[in-house]
Amino acid sequence: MNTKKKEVLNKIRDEFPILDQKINGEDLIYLDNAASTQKPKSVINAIKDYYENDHSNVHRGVHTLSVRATEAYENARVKVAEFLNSPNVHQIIFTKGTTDSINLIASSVTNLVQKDDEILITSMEHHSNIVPWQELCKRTGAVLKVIPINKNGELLIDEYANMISSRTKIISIVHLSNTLGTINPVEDIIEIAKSHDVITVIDGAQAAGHLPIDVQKLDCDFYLFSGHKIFGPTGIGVLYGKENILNEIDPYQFGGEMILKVTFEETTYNDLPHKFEAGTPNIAGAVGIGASIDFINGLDRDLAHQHEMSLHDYALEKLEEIGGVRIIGNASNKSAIISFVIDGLHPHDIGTIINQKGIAVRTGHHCTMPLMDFYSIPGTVRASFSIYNNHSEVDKLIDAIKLAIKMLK
Amino acid sequence: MVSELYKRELIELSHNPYHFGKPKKIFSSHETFNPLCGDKITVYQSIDPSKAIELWFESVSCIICSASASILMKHSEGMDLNDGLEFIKEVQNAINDGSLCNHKFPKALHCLEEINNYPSRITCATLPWKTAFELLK
Repeated sequence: MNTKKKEVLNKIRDEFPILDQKINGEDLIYLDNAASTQKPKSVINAIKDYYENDHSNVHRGVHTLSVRATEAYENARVKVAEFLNSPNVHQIIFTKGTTDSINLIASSVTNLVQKDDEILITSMEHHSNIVPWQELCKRTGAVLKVIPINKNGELLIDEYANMISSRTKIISIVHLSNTLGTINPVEDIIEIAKSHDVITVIDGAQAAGHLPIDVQKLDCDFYLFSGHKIFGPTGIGVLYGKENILNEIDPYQFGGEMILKVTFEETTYNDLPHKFEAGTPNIAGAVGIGASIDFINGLDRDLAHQHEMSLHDYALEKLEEIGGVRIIGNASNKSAIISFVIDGLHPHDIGTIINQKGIAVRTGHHCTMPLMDFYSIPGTVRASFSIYNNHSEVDKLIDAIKLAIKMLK
Repeated sequence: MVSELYKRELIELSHNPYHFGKPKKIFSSHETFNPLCGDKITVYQSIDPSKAIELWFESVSCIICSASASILMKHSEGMDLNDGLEFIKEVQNAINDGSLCNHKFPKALHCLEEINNYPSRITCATLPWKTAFELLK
Protein backbone atom coordinates (compact mmCIF):
# COMPACT_ATOMS: atom_id res chain seq x y z
CA MET A 1 0.00 0.00 0.00
CA ASN A 2 1.42 3.37 -0.92
CA THR A 3 2.04 6.06 1.69
CA LYS A 4 -0.74 8.34 0.47
CA LYS A 5 -3.37 5.61 0.74
CA LYS A 6 -2.09 4.68 4.17
CA GLU A 7 -2.38 8.30 5.29
CA VAL A 8 -5.94 8.51 3.98
CA LEU A 9 -6.91 5.30 5.80
CA ASN A 10 -5.24 6.39 9.04
CA LYS A 11 -7.10 9.70 8.86
CA ILE A 12 -10.39 7.85 8.41
CA ARG A 13 -9.62 5.61 11.38
CA ASP A 14 -8.95 8.69 13.52
CA GLU A 15 -12.55 9.72 12.90
CA PHE A 16 -13.76 6.82 15.08
CA PRO A 17 -13.10 7.70 18.73
CA ILE A 18 -14.38 4.37 20.09
CA LEU A 19 -11.47 2.53 18.46
CA ASP A 20 -8.99 4.34 20.68
CA GLN A 21 -9.45 2.22 23.79
CA LYS A 22 -8.19 -0.89 25.54
CA ILE A 23 -10.30 -3.99 26.07
CA ASN A 24 -8.87 -6.39 28.65
CA GLY A 25 -5.67 -4.36 28.53
CA GLU A 26 -5.25 -4.77 24.76
CA ASP A 27 -5.98 -2.39 21.88
CA LEU A 28 -9.55 -2.84 20.72
CA ILE A 29 -9.76 -4.64 17.38
CA TYR A 30 -13.31 -4.32 16.14
CA LEU A 31 -14.16 -6.99 13.56
CA ASP A 32 -17.90 -7.17 14.17
CA ASN A 33 -18.85 -4.67 11.51
CA ALA A 34 -21.50 -6.85 9.91
CA ALA A 35 -23.42 -6.68 13.18
CA SER A 36 -22.97 -2.93 13.55
CA THR A 37 -20.38 -0.44 12.39
CA GLN A 38 -18.80 2.12 14.68
CA LYS A 39 -19.68 5.80 14.39
CA PRO A 40 -17.46 8.61 13.12
CA LYS A 41 -17.24 11.91 15.01
CA SER A 42 -19.32 13.62 12.34
CA VAL A 43 -22.31 11.35 13.05
CA ILE A 44 -21.92 11.62 16.82
CA ASN A 45 -21.63 15.41 16.58
CA ALA A 46 -24.61 15.73 14.23
CA ILE A 47 -26.84 13.95 16.76
CA LYS A 48 -25.37 15.97 19.64
CA ASP A 49 -25.80 19.25 17.74
CA TYR A 50 -29.37 18.36 16.88
CA TYR A 51 -30.28 17.77 20.52
CA GLU A 52 -28.30 20.78 21.75
CA ASN A 53 -29.69 23.25 19.23
CA ASP A 54 -32.61 22.14 17.10
CA HIS A 55 -34.75 19.55 18.83
CA SER A 56 -38.52 19.76 18.84
CA ASN A 57 -41.27 17.64 17.34
CA VAL A 58 -41.47 17.66 13.56
CA HIS A 59 -44.23 18.83 11.20
CA ARG A 60 -47.21 21.03 12.07
CA GLY A 61 -45.27 23.22 14.54
CA VAL A 62 -45.08 26.94 13.74
CA HIS A 63 -42.27 27.79 16.13
CA THR A 64 -38.65 28.04 15.07
CA LEU A 65 -37.38 24.86 16.71
CA SER A 66 -40.12 22.77 15.12
CA VAL A 67 -39.27 24.26 11.74
CA ARG A 68 -35.57 23.49 12.26
CA ALA A 69 -36.29 19.94 13.42
CA THR A 70 -38.57 19.39 10.44
CA GLU A 71 -35.91 20.70 8.08
CA ALA A 72 -33.27 18.46 9.65
CA TYR A 73 -35.55 15.42 9.40
CA GLU A 74 -36.64 16.07 5.83
CA ASN A 75 -33.12 16.99 4.69
CA ALA A 76 -32.03 13.56 5.89
CA ARG A 77 -34.73 12.04 3.70
CA VAL A 78 -33.36 13.97 0.71
CA LYS A 79 -29.87 12.61 1.43
CA VAL A 80 -31.20 9.04 1.59
CA ALA A 81 -33.11 9.53 -1.66
CA GLU A 82 -29.94 10.71 -3.38
CA PHE A 83 -27.92 7.89 -1.80
CA LEU A 84 -30.25 5.31 -3.36
CA ASN A 85 -30.98 7.35 -6.50
CA SER A 86 -34.68 7.24 -5.68
CA PRO A 87 -36.74 9.07 -8.33
CA ASN A 88 -38.63 10.94 -5.59
CA VAL A 89 -37.88 11.89 -2.01
CA HIS A 90 -41.36 10.81 -0.85
CA GLN A 91 -40.54 7.22 -1.80
CA ILE A 92 -38.20 7.09 1.19
CA ILE A 93 -39.87 5.92 4.40
CA PHE A 94 -38.02 6.08 7.70
CA THR A 95 -38.40 2.96 9.83
CA LYS A 96 -36.69 1.51 12.91
CA GLY A 97 -34.35 -0.59 10.79
CA THR A 98 -34.28 -3.29 8.14
CA THR A 99 -36.32 -5.70 10.25
CA ASP A 100 -38.99 -3.06 10.73
CA SER A 101 -38.94 -2.30 6.99
CA ILE A 102 -39.54 -5.96 6.11
CA ASN A 103 -42.29 -6.21 8.70
CA LEU A 104 -43.89 -3.11 7.23
CA ILE A 105 -43.97 -4.64 3.76
CA ALA A 106 -45.04 -8.11 4.89
CA SER A 107 -47.86 -6.56 6.89
CA SER A 108 -48.94 -3.97 4.35
CA VAL A 109 -49.07 -6.28 1.33
CA THR A 110 -51.59 -8.57 3.06
CA ASN A 111 -54.36 -7.18 0.85
CA LEU A 112 -52.40 -8.17 -2.27
CA VAL A 113 -51.72 -11.78 -1.27
CA GLN A 114 -54.19 -14.64 -1.60
CA LYS A 115 -54.35 -18.29 -0.60
CA ASP A 116 -51.87 -20.47 -2.53
CA ASP A 117 -49.86 -17.49 -3.73
CA GLU A 118 -46.16 -18.14 -3.31
CA ILE A 119 -43.53 -16.05 -1.53
CA LEU A 120 -39.92 -16.78 -2.47
CA ILE A 121 -36.95 -16.28 -0.20
CA THR A 122 -33.51 -17.91 -0.19
CA SER A 123 -31.66 -20.35 2.07
CA MET A 124 -29.28 -17.64 3.22
CA GLU A 125 -31.84 -15.20 4.63
CA HIS A 126 -31.58 -13.54 8.03
CA HIS A 127 -34.45 -14.47 10.37
CA SER A 128 -35.84 -10.99 9.74
CA ASN A 129 -36.39 -11.96 6.11
CA ILE A 130 -38.00 -15.29 7.01
CA VAL A 131 -40.31 -14.82 9.98
CA PRO A 132 -42.38 -11.84 8.68
CA TRP A 133 -43.13 -13.85 5.51
CA GLN A 134 -44.06 -16.94 7.53
CA GLU A 135 -46.53 -14.76 9.40
CA LEU A 136 -47.90 -13.37 6.12
CA CYS A 137 -48.38 -16.95 4.90
CA LYS A 138 -50.22 -17.84 8.13
CA ARG A 139 -52.57 -14.89 7.65
CA THR A 140 -53.26 -15.43 3.97
CA GLY A 141 -52.74 -19.12 3.21
CA ALA A 142 -49.85 -18.26 0.90
CA VAL A 143 -46.91 -20.67 0.65
CA LEU A 144 -43.28 -19.84 1.53
CA LYS A 145 -40.74 -21.35 -0.85
CA VAL A 146 -36.99 -21.34 -0.41
CA ILE A 147 -34.48 -20.99 -3.25
CA PRO A 148 -31.55 -23.34 -2.55
CA ILE A 149 -27.84 -22.55 -2.50
CA ASN A 150 -24.73 -24.61 -3.19
CA LYS A 151 -22.04 -25.39 -0.60
CA ASN A 152 -20.05 -22.34 -1.67
CA GLY A 153 -22.98 -20.26 -0.51
CA GLU A 154 -24.11 -19.22 -3.98
CA LEU A 155 -27.71 -19.02 -5.02
CA LEU A 156 -28.86 -21.60 -7.57
CA ILE A 157 -30.24 -19.24 -10.16
CA ASP A 158 -31.47 -22.02 -12.46
CA GLU A 159 -33.49 -23.47 -9.58
CA TYR A 160 -34.91 -20.02 -8.93
CA ALA A 161 -35.89 -19.62 -12.58
CA ASN A 162 -37.69 -22.97 -12.36
CA MET A 163 -39.43 -22.13 -9.08
CA ILE A 164 -40.90 -18.81 -10.17
CA SER A 165 -44.36 -19.11 -11.69
CA SER A 166 -47.69 -17.39 -12.12
CA ARG A 167 -48.38 -18.26 -8.45
CA THR A 168 -45.32 -16.31 -7.23
CA LYS A 169 -46.38 -13.03 -5.69
CA ILE A 170 -43.28 -11.76 -3.91
CA ILE A 171 -39.57 -12.50 -3.85
CA SER A 172 -37.63 -11.15 -0.89
CA ILE A 173 -33.90 -11.67 -1.06
CA VAL A 174 -30.78 -10.53 0.71
CA HIS A 175 -28.40 -8.45 -1.42
CA LEU A 176 -25.30 -9.34 0.62
CA SER A 177 -25.43 -12.25 3.05
CA ASN A 178 -24.53 -11.28 6.63
CA THR A 179 -23.22 -14.78 7.35
CA LEU A 180 -21.55 -15.86 4.11
CA GLY A 181 -20.57 -12.54 2.59
CA THR A 182 -22.11 -13.67 -0.69
CA ILE A 183 -23.17 -10.85 -3.00
CA ASN A 184 -26.26 -12.10 -4.78
CA PRO A 185 -26.85 -11.25 -8.45
CA VAL A 186 -29.89 -9.15 -7.59
CA GLU A 187 -30.03 -7.51 -11.04
CA ASP A 188 -30.63 -10.93 -12.69
CA ILE A 189 -33.00 -12.01 -9.94
CA ILE A 190 -35.10 -8.86 -10.30
CA GLU A 191 -35.14 -9.14 -14.09
CA ILE A 192 -36.52 -12.70 -13.92
CA ALA A 193 -39.05 -11.66 -11.25
CA LYS A 194 -40.22 -8.69 -13.33
CA SER A 195 -40.94 -10.94 -16.30
CA HIS A 196 -43.46 -12.72 -14.02
CA ASP A 197 -44.89 -9.53 -12.43
CA VAL A 198 -43.48 -10.54 -9.06
CA ILE A 199 -42.98 -7.91 -6.33
CA THR A 200 -39.27 -7.66 -5.52
CA VAL A 201 -37.95 -6.87 -2.05
CA ILE A 202 -34.20 -6.44 -1.56
CA ASP A 203 -32.74 -6.63 1.95
CA GLY A 204 -29.80 -4.26 1.68
CA ALA A 205 -28.82 -4.26 5.37
CA GLN A 206 -25.27 -5.40 4.63
CA ALA A 207 -25.00 -4.08 1.09
CA ALA A 208 -25.85 -0.41 1.58
CA GLY A 209 -22.61 0.40 3.38
CA HIS A 210 -20.38 -1.48 0.96
CA LEU A 211 -21.92 -1.35 -2.52
CA PRO A 212 -23.23 1.60 -4.52
CA ILE A 213 -27.02 1.24 -4.70
CA ASP A 214 -29.14 2.56 -7.55
CA VAL A 215 -32.76 1.55 -7.05
CA GLN A 216 -33.79 2.83 -10.48
CA LYS A 217 -31.13 0.76 -12.18
CA LEU A 218 -32.02 -2.27 -10.06
CA ASP A 219 -35.72 -1.68 -10.79
CA CYS A 220 -36.66 -3.36 -7.50
CA ASP A 221 -39.99 -2.60 -5.87
CA PHE A 222 -38.52 -2.26 -2.38
CA TYR A 223 -35.00 -1.71 -1.06
CA LEU A 224 -34.29 -1.69 2.69
CA PHE A 225 -31.40 -0.95 5.00
CA SER A 226 -30.46 0.12 8.53
CA GLY A 227 -28.62 3.20 9.73
CA HIS A 228 -26.35 1.44 12.19
CA LYS A 229 -24.67 -0.73 9.56
CA ILE A 230 -23.62 2.31 7.50
CA PHE A 231 -21.88 4.22 10.33
CA GLY A 232 -25.17 5.74 11.49
CA PRO A 233 -27.17 5.33 14.68
CA THR A 234 -29.29 2.38 15.79
CA GLY A 235 -33.08 2.58 15.71
CA ILE A 236 -33.34 4.18 12.28
CA GLY A 237 -33.78 2.42 8.97
CA VAL A 238 -34.99 3.03 5.46
CA LEU A 239 -37.59 1.58 3.20
CA TYR A 240 -37.49 2.67 -0.42
CA GLY A 241 -40.58 1.67 -2.40
CA LYS A 242 -41.94 2.21 -5.87
CA GLU A 243 -44.62 4.87 -5.74
CA ASN A 244 -47.45 2.82 -7.27
CA ILE A 245 -47.00 -0.02 -4.77
CA LEU A 246 -46.59 2.30 -1.80
CA ASN A 247 -49.87 3.92 -2.80
CA GLU A 248 -51.55 0.54 -3.30
CA ILE A 249 -50.64 -1.13 -0.01
CA ASP A 250 -52.14 -0.43 3.40
CA PRO A 251 -50.46 1.61 6.14
CA TYR A 252 -48.47 -0.40 8.65
CA GLN A 253 -49.30 1.47 11.82
CA PHE A 254 -51.98 3.99 12.61
CA GLY A 255 -52.18 7.22 14.59
CA GLY A 256 -50.74 10.70 14.34
CA GLU A 257 -48.69 11.91 11.35
CA MET A 258 -50.09 9.28 8.96
CA ILE A 259 -53.50 10.94 8.54
CA LEU A 260 -54.96 13.75 6.43
CA LYS A 261 -58.31 13.93 8.19
CA VAL A 262 -59.84 12.13 11.14
CA THR A 263 -63.46 12.04 12.28
CA PHE A 264 -65.03 9.49 14.60
CA GLU A 265 -66.64 7.93 11.54
CA GLU A 266 -63.63 7.61 9.25
CA THR A 267 -60.00 8.50 8.57
CA THR A 268 -58.26 9.61 5.41
CA TYR A 269 -54.63 8.55 5.22
CA ASN A 270 -51.81 10.99 4.53
CA ASP A 271 -49.73 11.09 1.37
CA LEU A 272 -46.36 9.44 0.99
CA PRO A 273 -44.11 9.15 2.88
CA HIS A 274 -46.17 10.11 5.97
CA LYS A 275 -48.75 7.37 5.34
CA PHE A 276 -46.16 4.92 6.66
CA GLU A 277 -44.70 7.03 9.48
CA ALA A 278 -47.26 6.96 12.31
CA GLY A 279 -46.28 8.76 15.51
CA THR A 280 -43.32 10.97 16.32
CA PRO A 281 -40.43 9.64 14.26
CA ASN A 282 -36.82 9.06 15.27
CA ILE A 283 -35.72 12.57 14.30
CA ALA A 284 -32.23 12.36 15.79
CA GLY A 285 -31.82 8.98 14.11
CA ALA A 286 -32.69 10.53 10.76
CA VAL A 287 -30.20 13.34 11.37
CA GLY A 288 -27.63 10.65 12.21
CA ILE A 289 -28.31 8.60 9.09
CA GLY A 290 -28.04 11.78 7.02
CA ALA A 291 -24.63 12.46 8.58
CA SER A 292 -23.56 8.85 7.96
CA ILE A 293 -24.45 9.22 4.28
CA ASP A 294 -22.38 12.42 4.16
CA PHE A 295 -19.53 10.44 5.70
CA ILE A 296 -19.82 7.65 3.10
CA ASN A 297 -20.10 10.18 0.28
CA GLY A 298 -16.87 11.73 1.54
CA LEU A 299 -15.02 8.42 1.23
CA ASP A 300 -13.21 7.22 -1.87
CA ARG A 301 -15.52 4.23 -2.22
CA ASP A 302 -13.19 2.40 -4.60
CA LEU A 303 -10.39 2.75 -2.07
CA ALA A 304 -12.73 1.60 0.72
CA HIS A 305 -13.75 -1.47 -1.26
CA GLN A 306 -10.17 -2.33 -2.26
CA HIS A 307 -8.99 -1.93 1.32
CA GLU A 308 -11.75 -4.06 2.83
CA MET A 309 -11.23 -6.81 0.25
CA SER A 310 -7.48 -6.68 0.80
CA LEU A 311 -8.11 -7.34 4.51
CA HIS A 312 -10.53 -10.12 3.60
CA ASP A 313 -8.09 -11.80 1.23
CA TYR A 314 -5.21 -11.49 3.68
CA ALA A 315 -7.26 -12.90 6.58
CA LEU A 316 -8.57 -15.73 4.41
CA GLU A 317 -5.06 -16.71 3.35
CA LYS A 318 -3.83 -16.70 6.97
CA LEU A 319 -6.87 -18.60 8.27
CA GLU A 320 -6.51 -21.30 5.64
CA GLU A 321 -2.97 -21.92 6.88
CA ILE A 322 -4.34 -22.91 10.31
CA GLY A 323 -5.09 -26.63 10.58
CA GLY A 324 -8.75 -27.52 11.15
CA VAL A 325 -10.18 -24.21 9.92
CA ARG A 326 -13.10 -24.52 7.53
CA ILE A 327 -14.40 -21.44 5.74
CA ILE A 328 -18.19 -21.21 5.50
CA GLY A 329 -19.05 -19.27 2.36
CA ASN A 330 -16.76 -19.33 -0.64
CA ALA A 331 -18.88 -17.51 -3.21
CA SER A 332 -17.06 -16.13 -6.23
CA ASN A 333 -18.61 -12.71 -5.59
CA LYS A 334 -18.07 -11.84 -1.95
CA SER A 335 -17.82 -8.95 0.41
CA ALA A 336 -15.39 -8.52 3.33
CA ILE A 337 -17.06 -11.03 5.64
CA ILE A 338 -15.41 -14.31 6.65
CA SER A 339 -17.31 -17.01 8.52
CA PHE A 340 -15.38 -20.02 9.71
CA VAL A 341 -15.42 -23.00 12.04
CA ILE A 342 -12.55 -24.87 13.65
CA ASP A 343 -12.71 -28.66 14.03
CA GLY A 344 -13.61 -29.66 17.57
CA LEU A 345 -14.00 -26.12 18.86
CA HIS A 346 -17.17 -24.19 19.51
CA PRO A 347 -17.43 -20.63 18.10
CA HIS A 348 -18.46 -19.18 21.48
CA ASP A 349 -15.36 -20.55 23.17
CA ILE A 350 -13.14 -19.10 20.46
CA GLY A 351 -14.96 -15.75 20.67
CA THR A 352 -14.56 -15.59 24.45
CA ILE A 353 -10.84 -16.30 24.31
CA ILE A 354 -10.02 -13.87 21.53
CA ASN A 355 -12.04 -11.19 23.33
CA GLN A 356 -9.36 -11.47 26.02
CA LYS A 357 -7.00 -10.12 23.37
CA GLY A 358 -9.31 -7.16 22.73
CA ILE A 359 -10.74 -8.66 19.55
CA ALA A 360 -14.47 -8.36 18.85
CA VAL A 361 -15.89 -10.92 16.44
CA ARG A 362 -19.41 -12.30 16.28
CA THR A 363 -20.01 -15.94 17.12
CA GLY A 364 -23.14 -18.03 16.77
CA HIS A 365 -25.81 -18.50 14.16
CA HIS A 366 -25.93 -14.84 13.08
CA CYS A 367 -29.75 -15.03 12.95
CA THR A 368 -29.48 -17.52 10.09
CA MET A 369 -30.39 -20.79 11.81
CA PRO A 370 -31.67 -22.52 8.63
CA LEU A 371 -28.34 -21.71 6.97
CA MET A 372 -26.49 -23.27 9.92
CA ASP A 373 -28.66 -26.38 9.47
CA PHE A 374 -27.68 -26.45 5.78
CA TYR A 375 -24.00 -26.57 6.77
CA SER A 376 -24.74 -28.90 9.77
CA ILE A 377 -23.03 -26.56 12.22
CA PRO A 378 -24.35 -24.77 15.32
CA GLY A 379 -22.67 -21.51 14.42
CA THR A 380 -19.56 -19.85 13.07
CA VAL A 381 -16.96 -17.32 14.05
CA ARG A 382 -17.45 -14.30 11.83
CA ALA A 383 -14.88 -11.59 11.20
CA SER A 384 -16.26 -8.68 9.19
CA PHE A 385 -14.09 -5.80 8.05
CA SER A 386 -14.62 -2.09 7.63
CA ILE A 387 -12.69 0.84 6.29
CA TYR A 388 -11.03 1.52 9.66
CA ASN A 389 -9.49 -1.95 10.10
CA ASN A 390 -5.92 -2.72 9.13
CA HIS A 391 -3.60 -5.61 8.31
CA SER A 392 -1.88 -5.61 11.68
CA GLU A 393 -5.30 -6.26 13.26
CA VAL A 394 -5.67 -9.32 11.03
CA ASP A 395 -2.27 -10.57 12.25
CA LYS A 396 -3.45 -10.18 15.85
CA LEU A 397 -6.69 -12.00 15.05
CA ILE A 398 -4.73 -14.93 13.62
CA ASP A 399 -2.42 -15.05 16.66
CA ALA A 400 -5.43 -14.99 19.00
CA ILE A 401 -7.12 -17.83 17.12
CA LYS A 402 -3.94 -19.91 17.36
CA LEU A 403 -3.87 -19.19 21.09
CA ALA A 404 -7.52 -20.28 21.44
CA ILE A 405 -6.79 -23.55 19.65
CA LYS A 406 -3.80 -24.17 21.91
CA MET A 407 -5.81 -23.44 25.05
CA LEU A 408 -8.90 -25.43 24.20
CA LYS A 409 -7.63 -28.59 22.57
CA MET B 1 -8.20 -13.91 32.97
CA VAL B 2 -9.88 -16.13 30.46
CA SER B 3 -7.58 -19.01 31.45
CA GLU B 4 -9.39 -19.03 34.81
CA LEU B 5 -12.66 -19.58 32.98
CA TYR B 6 -11.24 -22.31 30.77
CA LYS B 7 -9.66 -24.37 33.53
CA ARG B 8 -8.02 -27.59 32.35
CA GLU B 9 -10.49 -29.54 34.51
CA LEU B 10 -13.42 -27.91 32.69
CA ILE B 11 -11.92 -28.61 29.27
CA GLU B 12 -11.25 -32.25 30.19
CA LEU B 13 -14.84 -32.64 31.39
CA SER B 14 -16.14 -31.30 28.09
CA HIS B 15 -13.95 -33.71 26.13
CA ASN B 16 -15.20 -36.75 28.05
CA PRO B 17 -18.54 -35.82 29.55
CA TYR B 18 -20.29 -38.20 31.93
CA HIS B 19 -23.40 -39.96 30.57
CA PHE B 20 -23.03 -38.40 27.13
CA GLY B 21 -25.24 -40.10 24.55
CA LYS B 22 -28.66 -41.62 24.33
CA PRO B 23 -29.33 -44.23 27.06
CA LYS B 24 -30.48 -47.71 26.04
CA LYS B 25 -33.84 -47.13 27.69
CA ILE B 26 -35.50 -43.72 27.68
CA PHE B 27 -38.22 -42.95 30.18
CA SER B 28 -38.57 -39.32 29.08
CA SER B 29 -36.59 -36.60 27.36
CA HIS B 30 -36.56 -32.84 26.85
CA GLU B 31 -34.79 -30.74 24.24
CA THR B 32 -33.80 -27.09 24.61
CA PHE B 33 -32.15 -24.56 22.32
CA ASN B 34 -29.97 -21.68 23.35
CA PRO B 35 -31.39 -18.90 21.19
CA LEU B 36 -28.23 -16.84 21.67
CA CYS B 37 -25.96 -19.27 19.90
CA GLY B 38 -28.14 -22.03 18.42
CA ASP B 39 -26.78 -24.73 20.74
CA LYS B 40 -29.02 -27.70 21.33
CA ILE B 41 -29.17 -30.10 24.26
CA THR B 42 -31.40 -33.10 24.86
CA VAL B 43 -31.57 -34.47 28.39
CA TYR B 44 -32.86 -38.03 28.88
CA GLN B 45 -34.20 -39.67 32.04
CA SER B 46 -33.48 -43.37 31.62
CA ILE B 47 -35.64 -44.79 34.44
CA ASP B 48 -38.86 -43.92 36.23
CA PRO B 49 -37.94 -40.69 38.09
CA SER B 50 -40.10 -41.66 41.04
CA LYS B 51 -37.44 -44.32 41.73
CA ALA B 52 -34.35 -42.17 41.23
CA ILE B 53 -32.80 -39.62 38.90
CA GLU B 54 -30.60 -41.00 36.14
CA LEU B 55 -29.87 -38.46 33.45
CA TRP B 56 -28.04 -38.67 30.12
CA PHE B 57 -27.53 -36.02 27.50
CA GLU B 58 -26.75 -35.32 23.88
CA SER B 59 -25.71 -31.86 22.76
CA VAL B 60 -24.15 -29.67 20.16
CA SER B 61 -22.62 -27.22 22.55
CA CYS B 62 -19.62 -25.30 23.81
CA ILE B 63 -17.09 -26.35 26.43
CA ILE B 64 -18.96 -24.56 29.24
CA CYS B 65 -22.29 -26.20 28.40
CA SER B 66 -20.85 -29.70 27.92
CA ALA B 67 -18.85 -29.57 31.15
CA SER B 68 -21.80 -28.17 33.07
CA ALA B 69 -24.01 -30.96 31.70
CA SER B 70 -21.44 -33.56 32.68
CA ILE B 71 -21.41 -32.30 36.28
CA LEU B 72 -25.21 -32.34 36.35
CA MET B 73 -25.41 -35.92 35.04
CA LYS B 74 -22.91 -37.19 37.59
CA HIS B 75 -24.04 -35.34 40.71
CA SER B 76 -27.79 -35.77 40.28
CA GLU B 77 -27.46 -39.51 39.70
CA GLY B 78 -29.40 -41.56 42.24
CA MET B 79 -31.10 -38.56 43.83
CA ASP B 80 -34.69 -38.70 44.93
CA LEU B 81 -36.89 -36.67 42.52
CA ASN B 82 -37.76 -33.86 44.93
CA ASP B 83 -34.19 -33.54 46.21
CA GLY B 84 -32.94 -33.60 42.64
CA LEU B 85 -35.29 -30.84 41.53
CA GLU B 86 -34.26 -28.72 44.49
CA PHE B 87 -30.58 -29.37 43.78
CA ILE B 88 -31.01 -28.42 40.11
CA LYS B 89 -32.87 -25.23 40.98
CA GLU B 90 -30.30 -24.23 43.60
CA VAL B 91 -27.38 -24.77 41.22
CA GLN B 92 -29.12 -22.76 38.50
CA ASN B 93 -29.56 -19.88 40.94
CA ALA B 94 -25.98 -20.20 42.16
CA ILE B 95 -24.63 -20.05 38.59
CA ASN B 96 -26.67 -16.90 38.02
CA ASP B 97 -25.63 -15.14 41.22
CA GLY B 98 -22.05 -16.37 41.40
CA SER B 99 -22.31 -18.45 44.58
CA LEU B 100 -21.21 -21.82 43.21
CA CYS B 101 -18.39 -22.12 45.73
CA ASN B 102 -20.90 -22.60 48.53
CA HIS B 103 -19.89 -25.65 50.56
CA LYS B 104 -23.26 -27.33 50.00
CA PHE B 105 -22.49 -27.89 46.32
CA PRO B 106 -20.19 -30.62 44.97
CA LYS B 107 -16.61 -29.46 44.50
CA ALA B 108 -16.84 -30.29 40.82
CA LEU B 109 -19.06 -27.24 40.35
CA HIS B 110 -16.28 -24.94 41.52
CA CYS B 111 -14.70 -25.14 38.08
CA LEU B 112 -17.67 -23.11 36.79
CA GLU B 113 -17.27 -20.32 39.35
CA GLU B 114 -15.62 -17.88 36.90
CA ILE B 115 -18.65 -17.92 34.62
CA ASN B 116 -20.23 -15.13 36.61
CA ASN B 117 -17.56 -12.78 35.26
CA TYR B 118 -18.74 -13.57 31.72
CA PRO B 119 -22.42 -12.56 31.68
CA SER B 120 -22.86 -13.52 28.01
CA ARG B 121 -21.82 -17.09 28.84
CA ILE B 122 -24.03 -17.75 31.88
CA THR B 123 -26.76 -19.23 29.67
CA CYS B 124 -24.22 -21.77 28.38
CA ALA B 125 -23.73 -23.06 31.92
CA THR B 126 -27.38 -23.02 32.95
CA LEU B 127 -28.81 -24.61 29.78
CA PRO B 128 -28.40 -28.27 30.91
CA TRP B 129 -29.85 -27.51 34.36
CA LYS B 130 -32.77 -25.63 32.89
CA THR B 131 -33.45 -28.50 30.49
CA ALA B 132 -33.25 -31.11 33.26
CA PHE B 133 -35.60 -29.12 35.45
CA GLU B 134 -38.14 -28.88 32.62
CA LEU B 135 -37.81 -32.63 32.08
CA LEU B 136 -38.25 -33.66 35.70
CA LYS B 137 -40.65 -31.09 37.12
